[in-house]
Amino acid sequence: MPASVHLRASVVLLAVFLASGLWIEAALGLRLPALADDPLRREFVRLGHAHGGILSMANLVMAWVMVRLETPEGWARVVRPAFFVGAACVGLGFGLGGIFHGTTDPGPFVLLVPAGAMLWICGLAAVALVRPGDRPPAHARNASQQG
Amino acid sequence: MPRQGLRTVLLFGPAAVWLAIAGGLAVAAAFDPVPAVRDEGGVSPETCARCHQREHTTWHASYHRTMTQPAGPTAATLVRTKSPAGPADRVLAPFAGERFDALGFRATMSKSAAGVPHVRIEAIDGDGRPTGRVLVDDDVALFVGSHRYQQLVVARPAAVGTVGVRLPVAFDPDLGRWLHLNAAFLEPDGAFGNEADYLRHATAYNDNCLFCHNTAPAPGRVTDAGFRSSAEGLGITCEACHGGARAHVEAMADPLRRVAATVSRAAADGGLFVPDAATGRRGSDVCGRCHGQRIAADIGHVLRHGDGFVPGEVLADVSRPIFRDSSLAGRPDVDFRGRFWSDGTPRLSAYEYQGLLTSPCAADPSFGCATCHTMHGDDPDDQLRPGVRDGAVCTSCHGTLVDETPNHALHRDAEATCLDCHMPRVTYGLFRTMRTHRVVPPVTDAGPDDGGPARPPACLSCHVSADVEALARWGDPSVHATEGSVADACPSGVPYVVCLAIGGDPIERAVAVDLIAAADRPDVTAALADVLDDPYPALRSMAMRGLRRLALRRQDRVLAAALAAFEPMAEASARATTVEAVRRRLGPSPLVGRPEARGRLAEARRRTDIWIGE
Repeated sequence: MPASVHLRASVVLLAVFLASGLWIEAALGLRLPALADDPLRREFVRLGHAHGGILSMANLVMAWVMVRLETPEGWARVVRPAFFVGAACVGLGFGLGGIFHGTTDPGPFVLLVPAGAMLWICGLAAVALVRPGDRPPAHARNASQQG
Repeated sequence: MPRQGLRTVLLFGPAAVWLAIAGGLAVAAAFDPVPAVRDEGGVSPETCARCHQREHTTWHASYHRTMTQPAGPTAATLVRTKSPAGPADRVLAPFAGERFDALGFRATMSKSAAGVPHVRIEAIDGDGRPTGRVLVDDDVALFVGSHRYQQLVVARPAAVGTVGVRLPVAFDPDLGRWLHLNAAFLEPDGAFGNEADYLRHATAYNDNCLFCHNTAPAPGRVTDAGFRSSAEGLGITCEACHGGARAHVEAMADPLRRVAATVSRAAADGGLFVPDAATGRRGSDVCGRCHGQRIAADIGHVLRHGDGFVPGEVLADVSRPIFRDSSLAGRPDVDFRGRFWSDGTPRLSAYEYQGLLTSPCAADPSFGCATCHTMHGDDPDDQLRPGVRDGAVCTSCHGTLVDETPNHALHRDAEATCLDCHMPRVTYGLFRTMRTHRVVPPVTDAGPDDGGPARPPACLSCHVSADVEALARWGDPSVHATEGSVADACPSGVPYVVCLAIGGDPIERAVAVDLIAAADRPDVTAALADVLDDPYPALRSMAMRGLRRLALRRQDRVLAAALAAFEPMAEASARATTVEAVRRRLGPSPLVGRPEARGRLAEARRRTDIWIGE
């Protein structure tokens, strides 16, 4: 995933999760029973909104961090989608797990949350450990030689 | 592997592996139901609360929870429980040295040096001086109930184990004072100083109260030597309605199974029963076990091991409900007719299940207790679903009926509810009349017979001033005068409820008292002063309670003050002052100047007197 696509996609993701906050406020304000009278759904939808929003912003931060740390492009091309998909998984996992929940527990979508967290942990480890001088992938070397 | 591919695996691999394994296990759990076995149970409500917080909160606020509470260390010797019982947190009486005299005995309620509630009952003479004869001097072991009144159980040693004895005094939270249980059951007064009369309701706990006040009770009777009683838990806990939950709890410790359970119920409940979701009669069978007096199939087995009923199974397999025509094998002297109106409608509480079974609505198998009640709602008093009181449940099936028949439309416009006419208050229990749980026509074709009186017409719920002739015009054949009946003795122009209050049998009198007290109309209210002199203490108590409500509604301090010192169990001479003061306040009785009618009603009452104990 190129840097520009990552940035645009993260901004869109941020907009989506901020909009979900608007929906939550409206549902609570209008006392919609599906949300107002369902504590489990309310809790998980809020978790989805908060985690999705914060991790979308973290995507923007990490895009800047990777530039500052001069993360090699070969790694960056893989780390960016990991951050993006991770943020989406955590936010949507909480939200959809809460919307489609059982009597006492969130629904199967909640399994996406640990998957998203793992993507973020792996991505953060890569950003922290990979140095600017590490060997770029072959296609990147070819591209720079042709340029 | 190319380097870029390796990076992708490093970053996405763990998440992909997690989804594959967790998803696979969850799908496997969804197709792997918890075995539906008879579960030994013993799961505490606090364990259930870890997942079912809302249900636990509503149960905790309910009176089911406090059906039995331990009062002191002897509780554990009386009933062994698998699920540990917490300390009593709903104790109604102060136990600060209160004294309560009745029938020549004095009960003194205090606390022992260890802080355990203690009761001493001793005989007193006519001047209130102790004679030295002591009937009870024990620490309380158990509190039973906490809603209408709170009873006390003490533990007595037996040849085997201990035997619980329910004391004859209980605390009334409505009045904020002690009462004698002779005033709770429909029986005449006992004699002053008569120990047998005083202890009439000092019954054994282990083979009586234990059954419906605890979860999965087993009396553990050992021949005639005593009891080794046990229960899953004190009071009515989760497993009383849902069955043993151990297998469910163990299975649900697996978080992936919990996720699977959101899409596949079989993955979760196993043998666990959810009465609300049950089809057919089985959900109501759970309630009927206690809210429907029954005859056990094998009483010997029940006294040793309990009835063996497990929620979700068929109640009729272990017992049969008592109906008007029920009989006990080898006991031709037992006649259940007095517990029912002549049309078969139950007259006493704890027969709600019979009411349900004999309702025409029960032809629909989806109709059951849960149609109107929920154990996990916001109403701990009657545990009704929202909208039940205004008849919304009725109109969900009979919506068009109201507009199609003129009588229905007429009564709707007068703000009568479906319940007023089809579930009238003709059931007695715990100092009050309650709505029958049999959905009935407002009037009955069945007149009085040898077994008891006819059900009072529901018209009286609102038309409290109606006389016999008016009721007959409205089509109630039950009030057609048969010789010697209340209707026969009731003069034209006198409200029929007044005649019922004076000349009816004990339950008719109870029904009339509550109708009069609720109506608060000058042409009938004064009859309550007559009932303050009723030969049954329970009726005197009901009249006092009705008048207190009346005084509160009217903000009548004079009436309230006159009633403050009234004790239904006191001697007639001690009650006379209050009765006169109330008479002065309420005005003349509706039967004043009609001594002949009063005499005929008193005669009718004598013919219909019955004892209805437990």
